Amino acid sequence: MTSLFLFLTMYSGGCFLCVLLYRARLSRNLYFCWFLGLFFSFALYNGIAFQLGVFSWVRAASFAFMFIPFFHILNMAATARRVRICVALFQSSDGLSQKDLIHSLRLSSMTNHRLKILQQFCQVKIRGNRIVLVRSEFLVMARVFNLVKKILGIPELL
Amino acid sequence: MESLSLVDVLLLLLSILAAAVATYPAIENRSPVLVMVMLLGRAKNRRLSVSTLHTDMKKRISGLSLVQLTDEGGYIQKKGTLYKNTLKGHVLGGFFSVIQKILGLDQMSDSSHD
Repeated sequence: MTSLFLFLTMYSGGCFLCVLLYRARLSRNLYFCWFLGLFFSFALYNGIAFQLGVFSWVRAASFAFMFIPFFHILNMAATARRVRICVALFQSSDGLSQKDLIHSLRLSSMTNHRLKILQQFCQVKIRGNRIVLVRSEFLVMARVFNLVKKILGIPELL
Repeated sequence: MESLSLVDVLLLLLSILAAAVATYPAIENRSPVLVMVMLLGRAKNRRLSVSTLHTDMKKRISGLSLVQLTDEGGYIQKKGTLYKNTLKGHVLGGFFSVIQKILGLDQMSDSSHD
């Protein structure tokens, strides 16, 4: 019971730390704040669990897995376009026209923002007027997603 | 080999299930970041001009199709000339509106986080 309480406390603490770091604008990179929150709470949780003699690899793995939904919630809040449409309509009591909904998506700056994300993850470099893909992690991820989409019969990325 | 308690097994299953459920929308959607990476990956020498990338992205991700997809997903519905949230969309919009407030995303300018 003690270890479950520790698990939940440290997990909540990690989520809180991530939000706090981002709110305090210690970094403008939401994903970096998520990583820091996960890293510190994961290290602290396992350290305390070792000290108390309740360390378990299964619990450690569960702890790490639990941060994936948290990542997706943060990512969706920041970038998801369907979420943006629903939030815009939630905040407008009378409803919105198609034009207003498209405006709420802020697509004009979408490419620039996504480029910024790719730069934050060191995936691309801008050389003069050209964008160069310098690392392959995201490309591999995109190909894996494409394969899963193919298997599930969902329209592929390209 | 450590012995597993029922709580350990349930916790692991729950965390894997939560991770899978949360990852599914990311797979289902056409993520602009991954579309961009695929475009760059397919380009000669993995490089594209800024204007070409902008044009390609505009071609592939249009506002109209996003509104239609959200409509088809049952999150919004058209009533006359205006769109409104369905119950599912209202819950989603309300939840993320709170999350955006907590993160301070609602106060950020368009250029800094969109």
